[in-house]
Amino acid sequence: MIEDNTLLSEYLSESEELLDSLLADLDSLAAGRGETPDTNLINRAFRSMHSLKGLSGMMGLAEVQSLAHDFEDILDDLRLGQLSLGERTNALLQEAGAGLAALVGGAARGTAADEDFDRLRQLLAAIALKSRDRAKKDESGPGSLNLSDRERALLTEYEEHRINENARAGRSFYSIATAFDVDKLDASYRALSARLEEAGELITTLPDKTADASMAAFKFVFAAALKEADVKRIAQPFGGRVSRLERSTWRKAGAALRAAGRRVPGLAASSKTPIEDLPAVLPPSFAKEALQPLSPSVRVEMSQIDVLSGLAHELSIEMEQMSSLAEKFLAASNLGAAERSDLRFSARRMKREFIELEERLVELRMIALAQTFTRAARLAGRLARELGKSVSVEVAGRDTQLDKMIVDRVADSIYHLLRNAVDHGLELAEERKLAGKPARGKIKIEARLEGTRAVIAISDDGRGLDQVELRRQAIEAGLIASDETLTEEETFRLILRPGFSTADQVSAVSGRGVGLDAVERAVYELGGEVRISSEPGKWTRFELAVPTTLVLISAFIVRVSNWRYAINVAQIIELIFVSPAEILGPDGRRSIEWRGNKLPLVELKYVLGLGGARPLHQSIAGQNGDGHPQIKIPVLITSAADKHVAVAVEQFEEQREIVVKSLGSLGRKLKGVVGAVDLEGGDVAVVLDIPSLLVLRSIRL
Amino acid sequence: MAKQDTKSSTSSRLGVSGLPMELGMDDLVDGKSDLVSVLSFEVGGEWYSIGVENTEGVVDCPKLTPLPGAPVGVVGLASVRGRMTVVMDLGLSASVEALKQRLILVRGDAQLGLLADRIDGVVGLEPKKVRPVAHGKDKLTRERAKFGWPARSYFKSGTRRVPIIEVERLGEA
Repeated sequence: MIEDNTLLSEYLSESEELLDSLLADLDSLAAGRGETPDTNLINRAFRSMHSLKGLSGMMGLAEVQSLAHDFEDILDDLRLGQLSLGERTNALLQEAGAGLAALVGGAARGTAADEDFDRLRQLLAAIALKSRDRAKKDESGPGSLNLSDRERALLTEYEEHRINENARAGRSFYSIATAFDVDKLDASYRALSARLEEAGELITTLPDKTADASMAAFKFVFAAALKEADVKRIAQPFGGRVSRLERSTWRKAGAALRAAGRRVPGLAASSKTPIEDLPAVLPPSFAKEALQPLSPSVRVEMSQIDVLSGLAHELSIEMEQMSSLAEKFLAASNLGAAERSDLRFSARRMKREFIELEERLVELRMIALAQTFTRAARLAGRLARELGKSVSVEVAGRDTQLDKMIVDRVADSIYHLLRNAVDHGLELAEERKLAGKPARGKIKIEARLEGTRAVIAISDDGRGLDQVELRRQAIEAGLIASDETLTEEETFRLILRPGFSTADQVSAVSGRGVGLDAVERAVYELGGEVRISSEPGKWTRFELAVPTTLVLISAFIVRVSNWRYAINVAQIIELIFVSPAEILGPDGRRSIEWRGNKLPLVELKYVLGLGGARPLHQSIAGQNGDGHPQIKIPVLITSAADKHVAVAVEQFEEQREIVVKSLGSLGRKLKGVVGAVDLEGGDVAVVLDIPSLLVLRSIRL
Repeated sequence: MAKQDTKSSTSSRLGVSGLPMELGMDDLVDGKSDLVSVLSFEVGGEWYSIGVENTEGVVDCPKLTPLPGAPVGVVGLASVRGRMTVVMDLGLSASVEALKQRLILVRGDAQLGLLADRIDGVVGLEPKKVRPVAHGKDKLTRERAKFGWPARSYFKSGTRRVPIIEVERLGEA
């Protein structure tokens, strides 16, 4: 019995939960009579019983522990298909479960009678006996698979059972031999397992031999109702070699293989040990092992991480408020110096830990570009073949990490630019020869970090962009006036305009109608920008500069009218104060001198569409006390389309790390807005993408 | 509070004088499955309604922050229950400052909220009382059509026609 009342109540509540779950599972099993029992259900019942056993052992309740152990054995037999669930067995199991539930309370309180334990033990023994009697021969079995004895010995009993079940269901077995780079082992392993789990059942993964120390080789044993070609299609991107683990192989190999003893290498040829004669009770370590998942990771929906990030951030805001309240209390209290410093210290530490928590959550969302790039390279090769062009694709920076959501959203743009490069950028072989270039075209896909942004560049060594031709088409399409002067960059950017196409003929590959404007839109929506450079006759390069994460950014908070706005510090070059006297030019065409250059000066208020047509210095003066001569206007220097711009705000607040929240499907359509952030007191600051806003509002640059 | 026609609205109507500050709409859904439950509300002097299953609750509208470049009808952004909510005013008031009391949270990815001056409550409608909007027939419909009017049906409450807002169309407005 359990003497300590606290322990007793903990034990009772915990075991009650386990027994509830167990009884419910036994009921479900009985309800599914005649059907093949649900493996998940049995596994869960087994786990409940296993936990109860451990818990009871810990409390020194040896009787319950041993009963739970017997029960666990029966559930294990069930799990391994050695006990079939007839009506009678189900009834006995339910009875035993109920009996155990009834006994646990008495055992813990020390009121249960010995004969009660004995009766239950007899019942369990009867069920167990039934199970031994019915233990059937291993008919199809893992022996049917073309695995080496060593590999077969590595199979757990549960895995063998799954092989039997799959064989009974008429599925085919495959071995997929593959080797992963040790550095990327986790990701590659997970990716292939996930793909296989989607398509069938991944029975087990066996280690394989490889000569290369930087690689880890595996053999995946996989069962599915798929043809070999389909399995090859799944395994191919991972460099997996697929071979069939055919049943027929076994038939030819004969009975010797069938009888191959589990875990007993070397016995295969001679031993005829039938499975019934193997020890009935498994070593305890086995059960634990078989329940261990193959991979130590769990799959989590992105939205769940969002919820966690949001919560963590909310907590940290609360924390800030608490700590400022604590400061006030400290000031008014008569606490000693030690307590004061303790309180301050612990507030500071909490703050740090919250920041770390948020950062960790952001890291969870990051994935490398490797997979996208690999797919992109393959796509480029295929497109080139379709168009009768020869191309070599070079990939760099595949380890660059980005928020998964950004990778997903930028993937289409990468493919679009690749199609464009292969189709329009690269010339045909003859044309290349005439231009003195190697017949084989070159396409480069690369990524690098640039501050808080990642730059993904797609370049080709093709014909380049022809400014004269671009201009001609833009005038023809009515995009520009015939006498409009454009810089080189502006001319290149014409191809990003909706409805612009340089292809004289619409090709099957690049399609029609959908132009590069889709790329720019997608990148804009992420708060990024598209850059184009080219040398006619030699090369073209597109760069997509996108934020690495939409979640945690270092932002500067500014105030405009009654509202606060956040600006990514990566978009701010410098913060300065300007006196009204330093402002040049008339309203609407104001400018300031900055580092020897004349920069256009605009009001953020105007950019945001909140008014701001009034003379600048007056509005600021009005705020700060009626045209006082000492007024300094806060101005931030930023850049848009590679030019510097000065943006006047009403007040600088502070720089801080912020968690950017999404505005939902509608908010995503808003250009110039990246998201929003919660501030103290229920305030919301909209996170602005200043360069896009300036471009959108057609600010003269 | 406006009078409700007892002939078209059945006895399932709840909360005549507005809802408690934060009330989950699940609490209001009528048990009878043959009725269409809508939440009716007034904004800018007009009455509207929205299917109860498309709402997530009604809260006092928090402080709004204007959203640059937002389409007509979107008056700003608010943080509600830790989620950024894009706030729409079907009454099309020009200014964020116009005082609206309540915010109806719309279910779905759009993260939308609808401003309301007054919440009348949940009305259980017999399906035959829900009628399609005849396009271009009245002045209001014509006017609203300009910005993608999100209602294709209405019900009659006394002499008043109460349009039933369609959530899917709100995001396109």
